[in-house]
Amino acid sequence: MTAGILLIADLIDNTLLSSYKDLLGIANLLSSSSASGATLVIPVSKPFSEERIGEIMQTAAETGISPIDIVMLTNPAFQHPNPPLIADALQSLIRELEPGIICFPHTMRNCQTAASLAMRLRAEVIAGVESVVQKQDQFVFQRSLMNGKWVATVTPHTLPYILTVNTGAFSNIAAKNIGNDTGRVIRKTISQETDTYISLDIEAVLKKESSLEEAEVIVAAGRGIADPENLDLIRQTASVFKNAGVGASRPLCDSGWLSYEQQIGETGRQVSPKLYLACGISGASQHLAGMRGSQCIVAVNTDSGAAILNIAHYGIIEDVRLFLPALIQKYEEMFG
Amino acid sequence: MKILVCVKQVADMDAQLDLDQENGWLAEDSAVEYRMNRFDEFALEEAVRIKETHPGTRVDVLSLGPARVADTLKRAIGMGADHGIHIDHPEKGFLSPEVTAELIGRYTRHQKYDFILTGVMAEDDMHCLVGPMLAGYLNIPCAVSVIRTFLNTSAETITVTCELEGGIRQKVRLSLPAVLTVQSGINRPRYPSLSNILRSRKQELQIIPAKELSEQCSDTMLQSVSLPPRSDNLQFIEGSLEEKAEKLLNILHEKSLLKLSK
Repeated sequence: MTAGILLIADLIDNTLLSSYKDLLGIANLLSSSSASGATLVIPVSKPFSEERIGEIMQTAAETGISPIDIVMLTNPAFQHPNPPLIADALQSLIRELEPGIICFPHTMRNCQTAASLAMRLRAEVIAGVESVVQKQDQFVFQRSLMNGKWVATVTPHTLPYILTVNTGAFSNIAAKNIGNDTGRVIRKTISQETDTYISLDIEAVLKKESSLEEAEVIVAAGRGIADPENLDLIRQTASVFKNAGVGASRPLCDSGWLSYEQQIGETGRQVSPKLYLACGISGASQHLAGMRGSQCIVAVNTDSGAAILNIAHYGIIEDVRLFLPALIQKYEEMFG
Repeated sequence: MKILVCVKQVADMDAQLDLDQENGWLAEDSAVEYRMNRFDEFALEEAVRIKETHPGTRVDVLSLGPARVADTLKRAIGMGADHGIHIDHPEKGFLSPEVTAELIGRYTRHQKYDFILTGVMAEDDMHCLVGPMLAGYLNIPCAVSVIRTFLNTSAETITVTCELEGGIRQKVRLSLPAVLTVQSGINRPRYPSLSNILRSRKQELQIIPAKELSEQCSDTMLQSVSLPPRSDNLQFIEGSLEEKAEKLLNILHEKSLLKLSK
């Protein structure tokens, strides 16, 4: 069996999410003599135009792996994410194409689809893949444990296996050409309808634009501030900068200390300011997903093992409740 | 109505974690404390709230693990669960989501729960898989990352709001029974009440040895656990509190980020 790589794209409102580029990136790394070809599966509510397909093929050629085949699965229910319907559709497709590796972008709902497929196919699944290395003729994957403090090295035993891939982890891979043919485009209509899972509505609850995305500096609060009153320290710190905004890790928003509009992370805002001052933030991967592109990351934390230090440029091991008042006072002395 | 909440006991990972590289998990003599997985706290709170608005509802709480998980089950009872089930498994370290889901499934399939709640992920292994794997095992529908629940009056379906990334939400209607995995922020978990704490001390947990449910042991994919490499770029700013503040301000000044009033 020549086992190809099946990549499952994510869409919302019939719009392809950019996470498919990470799938192309990991397909690049996973392609070898034993894996023949990559296929991008796009579940659509309305088929894409020839032009759009061409753009996707072009992106694949530039940033991932080429040629790729594209399989468009059409069903009106794909307008909204629908894990059970995707799992049904993929189960048939997998029987037909017999891929060796099936990849999804890492999101909670894709873990749902992956888990469902894993049960049906009796396949192994690795969720949240951050990196891959080839050891002899085996692929070895790495993923986080303990809120990012540890790294697990994992190897599947049997084919096919399923991966969910961290977005941003594989998006800058130099493109690889694995053949000269043009990719095929296959169109299938999916007729199964689940009535046990019905999507009713989708809405965007965060304002489209936020001043956080424009801020030069973000001072972000995490659970290390301990008390909502200490948010005053965060705001005072923000005021020493020319152009700063206040952000927060999710737990603070969950507790109602700050609005979700200010949440930075996978389920909140993605930012890449010149400076990210992480105050009492441990650095769980859901948070890092929102700010790891920041140009300079300064982490203030009492825990010298905190995961945020794995991506920080500067680390200050201090209680943020003591450090920020000292910082503000020093600022007044030096520049005030 | 009967609700099952599946909770996991995890190590307090804000503290120092001693990795024993040989056994691939926490060192045996580690002084780490254990607590309920944050996401499961939200799930339990959601179940107790539903119980409060639907009289006659019973909330069972289940946890899988060694003897120490009894503490987490007792806390769950303290928060308002009616009955605790301990699937006693000797594994103190990593247990795969497949084995976890199967063991919970083998217990659950003989019970008649209207729905099952659990957290969207465990903070220690971060897979986001046990909930949907359990749903697959039981062949019932599932919704993940739930931030709101609304039980429809016939109690044959439940409408949930699921959180997608980037501030997008999706409303889904599921037929029951179903598995829901709950995202943080769905509610504010309560502290255990005195009367429930007293009840948790008196009440016996139902203990089921994992071996009675299944002999299967997982052929684990986990090869090793290590500390992630620190970036070469990382510099620690050292000195007294004031010295650190000054050094940082100098760095920030050099980057022209500071507001200068003069």
